[in-house]
Amino acid sequence: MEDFLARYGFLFVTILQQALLGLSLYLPLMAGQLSLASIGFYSLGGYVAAIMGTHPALAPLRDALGFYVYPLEWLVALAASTILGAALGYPALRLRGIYLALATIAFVQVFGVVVLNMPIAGGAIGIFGIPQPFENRLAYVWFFGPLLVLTLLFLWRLERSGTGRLFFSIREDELAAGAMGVNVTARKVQAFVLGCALAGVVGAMSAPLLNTWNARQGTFDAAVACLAYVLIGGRRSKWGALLGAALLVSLPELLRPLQNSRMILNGVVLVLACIYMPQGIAGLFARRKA
Amino acid sequence: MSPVLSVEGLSKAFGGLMALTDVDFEVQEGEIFGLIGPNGAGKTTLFNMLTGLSKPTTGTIHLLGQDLSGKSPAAIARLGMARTFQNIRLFGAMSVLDNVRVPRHALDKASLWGGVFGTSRSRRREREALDLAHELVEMVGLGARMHAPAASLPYGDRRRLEIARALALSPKVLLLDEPAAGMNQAEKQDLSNFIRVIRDRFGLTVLLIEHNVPMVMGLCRSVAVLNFGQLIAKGAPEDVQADPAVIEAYLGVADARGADDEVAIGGGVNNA
Repeated sequence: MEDFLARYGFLFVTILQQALLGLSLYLPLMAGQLSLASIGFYSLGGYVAAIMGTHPALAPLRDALGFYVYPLEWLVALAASTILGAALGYPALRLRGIYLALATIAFVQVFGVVVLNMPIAGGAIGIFGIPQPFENRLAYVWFFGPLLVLTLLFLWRLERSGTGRLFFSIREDELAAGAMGVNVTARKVQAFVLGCALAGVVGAMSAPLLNTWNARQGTFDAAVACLAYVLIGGRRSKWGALLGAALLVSLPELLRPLQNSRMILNGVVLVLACIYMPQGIAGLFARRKA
Repeated sequence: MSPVLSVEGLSKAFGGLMALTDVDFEVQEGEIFGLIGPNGAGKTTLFNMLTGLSKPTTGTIHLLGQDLSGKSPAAIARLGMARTFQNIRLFGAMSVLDNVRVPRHALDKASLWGGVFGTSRSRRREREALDLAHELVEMVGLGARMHAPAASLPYGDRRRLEIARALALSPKVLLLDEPAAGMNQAEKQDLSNFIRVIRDRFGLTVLLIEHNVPMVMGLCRSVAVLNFGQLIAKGAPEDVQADPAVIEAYLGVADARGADDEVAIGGGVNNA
């Protein structure tokens, strides 16, 4: 058992972390908005935590707070992501469908270039030697686990509330939602900002886990990986992001015995899933229920 | 008495094509007002402008004395203008009940955190929205299907659900875009009765687009006729029915006048 945990502990923590990023895409999707901005906010949150954890000027603060510096990092990342998310959301959400996706990818790229050129973010090398609260990587379950539970509880409540129904009405028919009095722009921004805020906190939790943070944390590839969780898992259900992340993060490990051909099979699984499960894995369960 | 809805000098151009030209009319409180005209006459364009989905090129619309210029569709809906769509636009994957709850939540400006934490104010509003939705769904006869997804309903039920959803806005004016499309004679009669019942019960003013002339003549106190974007007649149903311009629009005349050719081509493009 110990051996198993030592080998797969990091994998398990990664699944939780990636599932949270998948959920940060699901939030705007509740209101029908396909945004790939999450990874940029993940990067932002990571930089906030990395700077707060390593900047010499903040040493007295760290000494005074001890372990509580971590929750403070999350809160600062949350605030920064919320503000930047709202500032980005209002102009970006005038765009629809694929254009919004493209604009948010552009944001991720621009953000990457900006931090690369900010001295405080450490340039191309980034920030390293970020203090770690735990000695063992599996222990980060105490960061990501409660956040995942809280996020799922939040979504469970949201989906059953008036705001959740307003989000869904926009996803179903934006024009009809407007004609029924729904303030479409404000609600889309709301859903978008929630996703940004979540991604920011996940980033702040991830910086200590990875020990270093640099511009490679917020790349286009990573954005597409998050999109894949939602597509494979199911974009119309909160469980989709969870299932998708679990499958896609563990698939390369499960296929390890195949050695070099495993990445081919990995790709085949993704393509087949897109063709035969347009509603994702969660969609299969939903159909059975109906 | 001031009119509930008044339209002045309303025009809409799509490029060089005039979809509507200088339309004026008023609708009095409690009236069932019929809007008729051949396909492509501009009826739905007019509805879209009344509800803010499309901006007039010129002209103004007043609802209860309030100018609607520059207001968003959502703001106009919340002021009391509700509609149904010619090509039914429900929230397909949502349940019948949830479809009817949406306008209520929009009016309440449902609070995100209130809903998530279940504050007492939020819970009270949720309960009121649910009670109203139950009542409306029962009223349109969909009580047995209230948890079914809207997209799974048969055509006629979807039309009735759309009316229930519009009523959830507690509107002053209800715009019905071809509510009787695809219905047989008996169903049309039922629908006429239903429209009168809801008008009385909710104190509505109803504006109705309909192709079926007998139905409009039986139901409406005033009628306006559009043809090629122009209001060619308005008044009591009997007078309008006897109007030569209306007869010409619906049946055509033997000697097509050269002067109308240009307009006719424009109307044809609009149709397509």
